[in-house]
Amino acid sequence: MTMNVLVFNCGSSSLKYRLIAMPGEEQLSSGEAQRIGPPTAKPSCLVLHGNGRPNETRTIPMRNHAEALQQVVAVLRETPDAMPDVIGHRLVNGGPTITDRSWIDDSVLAELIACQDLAPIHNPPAIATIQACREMFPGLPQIVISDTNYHRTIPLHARTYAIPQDVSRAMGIRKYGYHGISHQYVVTETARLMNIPLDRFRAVSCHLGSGGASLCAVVDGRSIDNTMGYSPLQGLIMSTRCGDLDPGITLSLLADTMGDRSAVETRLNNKSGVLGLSGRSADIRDALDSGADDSGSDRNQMTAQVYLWRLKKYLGAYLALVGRADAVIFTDTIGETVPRVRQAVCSGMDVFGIRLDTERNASARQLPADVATSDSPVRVWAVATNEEISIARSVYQAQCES
Amino acid sequence: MRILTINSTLRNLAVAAFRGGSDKPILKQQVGGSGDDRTLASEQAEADVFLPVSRALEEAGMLPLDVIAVRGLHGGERFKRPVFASESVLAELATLAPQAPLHVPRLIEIVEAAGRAFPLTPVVLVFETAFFVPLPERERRYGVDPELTDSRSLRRYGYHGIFHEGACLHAVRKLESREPCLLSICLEPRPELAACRGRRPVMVTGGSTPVEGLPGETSCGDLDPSVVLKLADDGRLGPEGTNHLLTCKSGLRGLTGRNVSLAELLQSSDEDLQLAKDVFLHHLLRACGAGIAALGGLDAIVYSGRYADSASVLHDWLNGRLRATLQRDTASLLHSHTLAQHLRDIAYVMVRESGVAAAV
Repeated sequence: MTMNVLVFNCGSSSLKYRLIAMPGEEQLSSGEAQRIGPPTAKPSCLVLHGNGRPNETRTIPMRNHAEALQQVVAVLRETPDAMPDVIGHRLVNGGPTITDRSWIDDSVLAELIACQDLAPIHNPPAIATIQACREMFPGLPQIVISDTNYHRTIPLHARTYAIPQDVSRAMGIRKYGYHGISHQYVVTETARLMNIPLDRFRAVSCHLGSGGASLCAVVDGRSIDNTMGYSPLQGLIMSTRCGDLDPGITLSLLADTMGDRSAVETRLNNKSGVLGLSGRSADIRDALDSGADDSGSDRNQMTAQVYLWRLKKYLGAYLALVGRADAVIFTDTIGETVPRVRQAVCSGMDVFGIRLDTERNASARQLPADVATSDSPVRVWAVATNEEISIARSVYQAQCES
Repeated sequence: MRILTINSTLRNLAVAAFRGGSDKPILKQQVGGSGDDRTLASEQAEADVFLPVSRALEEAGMLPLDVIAVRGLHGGERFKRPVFASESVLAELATLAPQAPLHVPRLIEIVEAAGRAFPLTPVVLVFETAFFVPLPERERRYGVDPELTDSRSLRRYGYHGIFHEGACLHAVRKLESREPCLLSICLEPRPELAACRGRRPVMVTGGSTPVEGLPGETSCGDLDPSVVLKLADDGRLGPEGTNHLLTCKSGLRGLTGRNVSLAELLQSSDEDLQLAKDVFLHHLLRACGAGIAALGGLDAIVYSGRYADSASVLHDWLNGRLRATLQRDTASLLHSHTLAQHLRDIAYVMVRESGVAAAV
């Protein structure tokens, strides 16, 4: 069965789309609506990917995601022989009930709306896009693929917080885990590259974005733990997120602000992490690249050390959970393009069977690349993530099954 | 040498007296409130504890004492090692009260009361945090703006330094190696794992407070900061109620709905305890992996704490899981000193080295 899958990936002020012919994974068209919403310093625009030719940028006012969607659909209609047969929407958190791929109907939509606060930046525009799609394509099946979906296999003891269980139940507190679409993609790719059946594949997947970052422990191709928790705030040090923090510190910050939850949330989500530590940049590459003659070099070095140390500790933690891993996988902007991060995290890890080839690692430009030494029992891979293809595969699989 | 050790927690006060090198205490008493009865005024401490203690010591021929050792939970960055109490030391200690508002004033009360009951006896203060003062910056720092933490001396410590230090010294001697890679697992109601190169800590599960890290008998351990904020924002709990919930009603108690000791959890095969056991072991295994990565190797796991008896069953499990990852077995060591014995040993060395004993 062949079909064209239209994938939507919503940000708070952006809408990425990609039309993919499945199962061949041929990309028919793609682009991104940027700066959706109230006017900003630059006008909102639609960037159409040239796929080999130069990109085309059209300046169009788009006040909300529904208007952005109209523009995207207008572009798609310019090539009438390449229209979607099915639509897949990415959702950051599908909540407690939408844990498997879910075809959208009224009741699923109602459930999504009920739990949109679980990802307050990402879920509302995604839901708006879903609603607009239902109006524009009333006959097309639509499906939600959530990042939390891949983590539905995290066992109960790994997703339960050690707080009173009646409180957890009443308030819906549990680990969800995030970045599942990306983790699933690179895990599947790496197993294929290594010729290991997915259902016997063990790995630690490191999704290191320029913004968020998480590690995923994988046994038999399935997620068994993720460093993010109930929210995407827990775990690693990220560009502006603090990651793990003593509950006592969170409470004392709350006391400082006279109980202003949103002030503390903003502080920990938007002003901490690499930005908070370095005091100047939210991008870990700036801290890593800082020269010794730089005025802020001490603080940059400290920032890089704290960031890398947390990462290395979690890699060890997850290798202990996984047992003997087949691979450690690095992906997304930092994981794919910053060899120094892979080098720092994998050095001194011989005890786990990890031996990084310094030269291979430094010169890895073409991904995927295996950057471990020939005799390293655990392989180290840098793999480019592709969330849209990952979504299209899930949609295709679901469509074939239904 | 006649030594009195005092371990004061918020809820009770335990004293033990030792003579010479004997491991068996001459006298052992525990006095304390339970539940929410948290304060023990100094007058009460003197009247209820030290007077009867003093009489009992007299009957046992233990007076005059050579030294009193008092355990302190939090000594900040100021107290890197045990110290003889003096007016100036207590004044410095008082400045640390904002960092541990319940523990520090309580400790000062106890030391002053002991001073009144045994006016001629030197008092040694032994801090749990001292062992962790030299933690490397990358380990002790949180992922937030340094101004936020440094102004209030918020950093990672570790709160079972006395056990860890004793256990690591024991391991260094047993292994006949100066800087072995050690995981030190302290099995106490608030369990804690430290990774140490010999006697030097490089990583610990405890945080700026003892709540962070492994789940304890009543404390939650690691928790998403967003969950803390969600709980505190709940009208019924508020920040105070959240603190109480996470400190006193969580951990094994929160997971099982009843009071369970860590020893019972580890030894039991009760189905009702299975989830709590799995949660605890999951966190412990993760902490072991993090510690091994921090060390870059592993020579042995050394167990200590009041539940050290449960170490063998625990080690069987841990070794089995780590075998898959490390492709070899891991040695285990046991250091079953009580906290009082550690305090006695530290006080003994302090007195010997300072020459105070000669004056007594």
